[in-house]
Amino acid sequence: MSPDESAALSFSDGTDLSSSDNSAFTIALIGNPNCGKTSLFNQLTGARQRTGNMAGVTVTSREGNCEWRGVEFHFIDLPGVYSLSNSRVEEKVARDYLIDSPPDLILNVLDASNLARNLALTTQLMEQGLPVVLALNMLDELEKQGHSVALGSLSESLGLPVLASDGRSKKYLPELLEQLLVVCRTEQCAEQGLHIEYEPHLEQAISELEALGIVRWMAVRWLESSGENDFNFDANQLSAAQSALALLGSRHDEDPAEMVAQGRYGYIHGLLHKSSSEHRDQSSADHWLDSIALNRWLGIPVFLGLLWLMFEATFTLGGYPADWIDTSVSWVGEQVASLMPESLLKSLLVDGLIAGVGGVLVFLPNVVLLFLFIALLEQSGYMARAAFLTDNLMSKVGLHGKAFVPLVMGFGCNVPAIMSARTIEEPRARLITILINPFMSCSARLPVYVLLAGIFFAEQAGTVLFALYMLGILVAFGVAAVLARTIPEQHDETFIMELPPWRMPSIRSLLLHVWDKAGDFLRKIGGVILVGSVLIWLLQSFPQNGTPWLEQLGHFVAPLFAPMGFGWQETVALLSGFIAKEVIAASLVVVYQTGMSDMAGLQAAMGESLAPASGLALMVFTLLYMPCLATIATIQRETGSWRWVGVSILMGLVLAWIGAWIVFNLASIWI
Amino acid sequence: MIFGDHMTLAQLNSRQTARIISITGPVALRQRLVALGVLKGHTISVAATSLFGSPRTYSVGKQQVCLRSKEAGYIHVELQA
Repeated sequence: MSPDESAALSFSDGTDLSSSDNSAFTIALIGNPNCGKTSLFNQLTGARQRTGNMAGVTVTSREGNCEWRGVEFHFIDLPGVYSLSNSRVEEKVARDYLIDSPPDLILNVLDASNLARNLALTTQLMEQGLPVVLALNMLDELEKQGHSVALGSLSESLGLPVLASDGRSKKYLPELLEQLLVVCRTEQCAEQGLHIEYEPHLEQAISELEALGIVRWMAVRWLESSGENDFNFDANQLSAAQSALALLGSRHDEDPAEMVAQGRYGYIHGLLHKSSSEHRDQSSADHWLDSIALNRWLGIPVFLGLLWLMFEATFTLGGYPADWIDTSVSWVGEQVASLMPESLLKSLLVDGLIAGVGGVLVFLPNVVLLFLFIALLEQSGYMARAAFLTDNLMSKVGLHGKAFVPLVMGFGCNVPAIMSARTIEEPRARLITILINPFMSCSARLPVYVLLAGIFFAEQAGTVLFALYMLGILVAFGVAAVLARTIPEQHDETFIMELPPWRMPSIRSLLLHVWDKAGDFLRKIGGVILVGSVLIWLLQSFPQNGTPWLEQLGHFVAPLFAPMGFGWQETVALLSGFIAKEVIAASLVVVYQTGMSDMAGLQAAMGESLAPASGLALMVFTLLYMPCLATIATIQRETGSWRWVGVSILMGLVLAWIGAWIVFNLASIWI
Repeated sequence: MIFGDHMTLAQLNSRQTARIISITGPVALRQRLVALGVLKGHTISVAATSLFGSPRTYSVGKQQVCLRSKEAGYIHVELQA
């Protein structure tokens, strides 16, 4: 706010109540990646969202509301950034937001266990003269390290309110909200931007620019970004800035960014000397878990072992609740069957709806467990370590260490996974990451595997699951290697990543996450899977005298799948699966309906008609063949071209057919 | 800036500790390192090495940063006792 405007405001209102007639305030959350910002955002808004443990999972900002004592707070969760001056996507999003639509207040979230670096961003906000309140997260971790921060003294030195916060519990929340309210009402924030004294040559450059009417913080930001941060300077200002930058370059080996950072860290160390109990930056980053997880020889075996354990547990642990659901579903089916007279409606209900929907509902526990394990990997900080372990392999196929997160997210659902590839800036690496994502077996395919593995490989089901996911990864890497050699590279992207500290995942946010995913799955069952089941039932039941349409269709296409030993039932199920992969399981249940509405009946029927080798081939086909409708739409949106959608579909179908054929023939020899 | 015991971070052995004396390389890389708090004068040591030797993670201050050997080669260090 310029001095003129603020004068006008206080004049028209007469008092300092200039903003208290407002009962709504916009507050933006900003902070370093992994500082616990999104957890705090969830606490504040009650939104059910995920905290990514890697930089840039939040590319677009999220919003949510919270009411506190009659005042409406509108929170905006900006992407995690280390700075505001780099040319990275997430920094640009945050930077533009703060300039174009400044919020009433900024809640700067800091990781107290790495305060110095977190405060570097704070100094940028303060230089810009923005109204800031600091929330210190992870104070407990700091105490575990045997340190402490005097919040009061830090607040005094900075001239800003400094509060404790915790993304894992609500204990600090009332105090935080109360303080936000006070600050919003009174605007008791520093009006003047922070003034850090930089190195003399840099100061000289800054004052030259200030003389031309450029605000100090803009001059600093322009120089530290080497002109990347464009503030619409006029021609005169721009040429002065460029010659100042050139002069600096001739006088110093260091980049202006380094010189500015030296100034910032000098200021920060002065602050911390007064208010923090630590005097040396001890390498508290070392953790006994890293001596295993990052061990040169153990790292990758441990990673693979964890993945295997995850799929084994998904299958076995999920089996118990799945049995309960199965029992309940068949009980409902029997009740309906015994209460209703023989009719088409009864058939629709029992053989269509209850069988199809129930057939997928059974897999809810497996899907929920898988999401739980992925969230655990993410929140604990292991995901970034796995990215480190696999970076070398990834770089060999034209991928980037950053592609790891979209790929693992693909185990959950390919749609958000493909969207999260936005964090990859190099266009080729991003395109490859998008195109190979459908090979990462999403949770929708899990019901099909669990069903088939349970029938044909009940003893080694977990291992079969693990092998399928591994096959998906191998195919993805193979395809990436081919794409990397056909698509030209645009520019090199460096791999610099911070390893977040190990963190105990918060039970609350894990449960919220799982609850959320279970809700998604149930909504999908109530929507597309319900419709799919009814559709399959219709095609299966009509015409009533003669071969049903579904069977006719199945027989028509079946020759294509005959080399893998699939019957018309499997053919039909695969055709229906392009709507959503869970529909494959629903279709199998409906077409194989044997009068028995429980899983055991279906398993017996399928086991009789399908050879184990065909069962395995069916799983492989399901794994590799075309993306589902939602994924196709996402690929189109993210690549902006139908051509890549075509490539993706064709590639999937061809690879699925070849893969299933190979697996069928190999398995026929061994099994 | 060439010193007698001049070496790059990529050449640092896993048991050695060094001090950063200068950072070269593309501007985007230098800005990124600065943003992560990897600055001249800081003490740095190898924390972990991946199977093929690159990338490695380094302890700088209170954090661990992963770098491929290509990027580590832009960071010039001097050994510390």
